[in-house]
Amino acid sequence: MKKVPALLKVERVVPNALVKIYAATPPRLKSRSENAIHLTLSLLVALSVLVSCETSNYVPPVTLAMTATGSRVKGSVNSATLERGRTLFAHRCIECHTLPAMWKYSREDWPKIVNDMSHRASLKPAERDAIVAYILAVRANEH
Amino acid sequence: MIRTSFIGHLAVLILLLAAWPATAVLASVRHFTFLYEAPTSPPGSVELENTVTWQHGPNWNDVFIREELEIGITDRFQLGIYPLDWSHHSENGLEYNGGAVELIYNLSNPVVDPVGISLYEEISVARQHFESESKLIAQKNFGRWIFDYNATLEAEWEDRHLEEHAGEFQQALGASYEISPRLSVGLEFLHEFVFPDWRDDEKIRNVFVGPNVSYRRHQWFVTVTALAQATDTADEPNFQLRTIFGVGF
Repeated sequence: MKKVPALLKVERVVPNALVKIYAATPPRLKSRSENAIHLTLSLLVALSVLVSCETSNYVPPVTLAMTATGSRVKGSVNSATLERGRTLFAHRCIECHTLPAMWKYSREDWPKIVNDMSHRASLKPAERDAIVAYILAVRANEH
Repeated sequence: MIRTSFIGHLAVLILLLAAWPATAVLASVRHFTFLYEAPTSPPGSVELENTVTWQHGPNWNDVFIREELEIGITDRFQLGIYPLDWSHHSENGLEYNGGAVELIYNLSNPVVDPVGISLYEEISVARQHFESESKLIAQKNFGRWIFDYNATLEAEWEDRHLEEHAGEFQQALGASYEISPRLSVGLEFLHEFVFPDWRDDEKIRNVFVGPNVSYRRHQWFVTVTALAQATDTADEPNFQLRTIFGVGF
């Protein structure tokens, strides 16, 4: 008599056992809440896939090159001012709207835009200037 | 006499409201109505927020009205005062529900940091009623998208000697997309676990889901959310609509 390998025996036994277990389990109906949870989670997954299209860094960190550019354009701009501008840009602007990509507006437009928004964002003149200095330094170092 | 005094106060209030917009600073725009967002108001900003919630059940309609004065204290700390909480119920009519104070402290930024986190605490006090609401707010911004998550633990004590007590855990998810700097649309999802007498014997779970829209302009904003109940809890509304109107002073 031909000997059956052990692996084949397992393959023959397990499917039958699974069929029995499946047959013994009553069909489970999904409740409305489960459907809603699944629907919402699916939508959020779909949204996060869409979001992956928007991965550009809207608030790049301050670099040495930015500081050099900043001090060349305006003598008083140092790395501390640019860091302050970056922090304020990230904190104050998102209180009303999402951050726009910096390339969306020209270098000439940015000072006016920030000035127009400064009152609404409760920015003091020095804070407004720090944001403008940061944005212009980022724009000047774009490749 | 009382009427004359009331009209006098009303006139002063109208004058103040007329004068304030000239120096208005908008505290923060709400992209959601059932969720709080991680960013706090800028220091020195003051905003009045009016929240109206209409709840519709099988044979009943309730309306809840809240007035909030929101004040930015520091870059990370915000104070909210609710002097007027009103509600109108189909059965009981108009009720004054007392006042509340809320504190929000921001720990991280939703753009620069991996996740923007804020901690929220609200204490409500009324006649024969005390309530504490604690929240963990997590938010992430990706370009024009805002994703928001709130985990809320509510505890309330009611009745003559505050003998009746109940609890609720709620998690809320929201996503909002900014179509233009003035207009956003999104989705809100609430999942509630209700614990009467701090017990989970009844296994009460409520799920609400629905869209929202937010519009902002200069010193004001308005955000509206419509939620439908996805579960079959009899005492909970089948449909609710919440509007928040905010104006900066």
